[in-house]
Amino acid sequence: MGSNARYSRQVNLPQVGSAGQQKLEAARVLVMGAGGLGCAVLPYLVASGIGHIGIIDGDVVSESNLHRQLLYTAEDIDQPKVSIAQKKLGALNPDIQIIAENAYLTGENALKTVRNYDLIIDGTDAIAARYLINDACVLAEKPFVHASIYRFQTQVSVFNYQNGPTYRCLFPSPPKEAPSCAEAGVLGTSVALAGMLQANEVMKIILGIGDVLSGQLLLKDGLTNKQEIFRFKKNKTIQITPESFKQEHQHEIKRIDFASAKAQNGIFLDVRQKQEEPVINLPNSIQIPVQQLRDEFAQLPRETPIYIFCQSGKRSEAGYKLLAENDFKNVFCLLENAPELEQLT
Amino acid sequence: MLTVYYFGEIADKTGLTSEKMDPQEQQISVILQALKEKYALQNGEFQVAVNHELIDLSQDLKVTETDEIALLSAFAGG
Repeated sequence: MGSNARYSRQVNLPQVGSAGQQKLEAARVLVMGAGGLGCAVLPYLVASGIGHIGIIDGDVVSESNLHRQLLYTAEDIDQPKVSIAQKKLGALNPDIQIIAENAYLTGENALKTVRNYDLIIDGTDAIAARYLINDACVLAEKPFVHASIYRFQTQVSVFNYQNGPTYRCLFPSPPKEAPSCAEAGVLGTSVALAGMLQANEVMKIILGIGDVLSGQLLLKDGLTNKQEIFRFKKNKTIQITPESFKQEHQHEIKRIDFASAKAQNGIFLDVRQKQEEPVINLPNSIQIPVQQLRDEFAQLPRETPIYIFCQSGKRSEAGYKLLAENDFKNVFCLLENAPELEQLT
Repeated sequence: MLTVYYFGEIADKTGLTSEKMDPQEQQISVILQALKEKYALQNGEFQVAVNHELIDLSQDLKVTETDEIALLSAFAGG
């Protein structure tokens, strides 16, 4: 590498120079999510000569991605996003190292993944992932660049930068629900704008130039072109510890068989929709569809064991996670679900 | 008249991006309570900025009629 013609236009900037180019070459940046934001951010980071770029995503390319995720074409449908992204970005700049990890970020792999990099880019599209990234970055002492979108509006900020405010200083706890782009709808141009603002923060942080959006939330409205900055401070009462991380993000699911559960004094929780067959009648049972569970916590005991089941076990795991995150102490997934329970009762 | 701005999903719930208010009480808690009731907003669903500074809701500050209040919520999409 070095100061060849490829980088000459940026090296010519007095704020960059060959020293700046060396900073870019030495930088290790992780992009979490190779979706709308990742596809916008990545080509610019790669082309700028950032030396080491990691990409983590467990998703495959879908047709509905193609209007905004421009690293992918129709030929890539059903292929892992990170493999395609790695290939195309490698062609864009063969001089840098691109590491692709075909996995979703979880409470188990987040900390280890984050520790290999200097700077993290949050390009995910779910609220839970955003809190996971925040908490992992706080524990690993890494800054991260956030962007998120609701329809035509974009939020961009840099969290945990030089011990500055974090995502939780802005939004202390996850909201009940916040729709993803799949649910709310989005234009490709909105995601691209968000990604460019994000990539621009990355460049400034690595080069050590300009004002970084730390303690500032930039809110841009693509319909009105209005752009505002809201300022916020570090909330010192918010502490992320390895214990709180484990409690919130690492849920090893406790399981129990029906016979053992029946012998104990607990309640059975059916998280299926009311009309689903077969109907299971158990003593001490309650039916709350998993989508409504969050609103019905008051109906459930905090200490008494709760045995969750559904039709296949998938929704019962989602219910388990939700209850465990909300301080229900004694929750189990039943090994048997409705079809098996019908035989046993 | 003070101005309240709504963003993201909060703007969907209020059906407005901003509105002028002429509150009888200048305590922010009273104003927010009235907005919560009017638009069925939940606690914890939004954060509040006054003149572009996020405020600590446990400290009930007074606003004046030239102030701008903004209700902000977390976005998920990407």
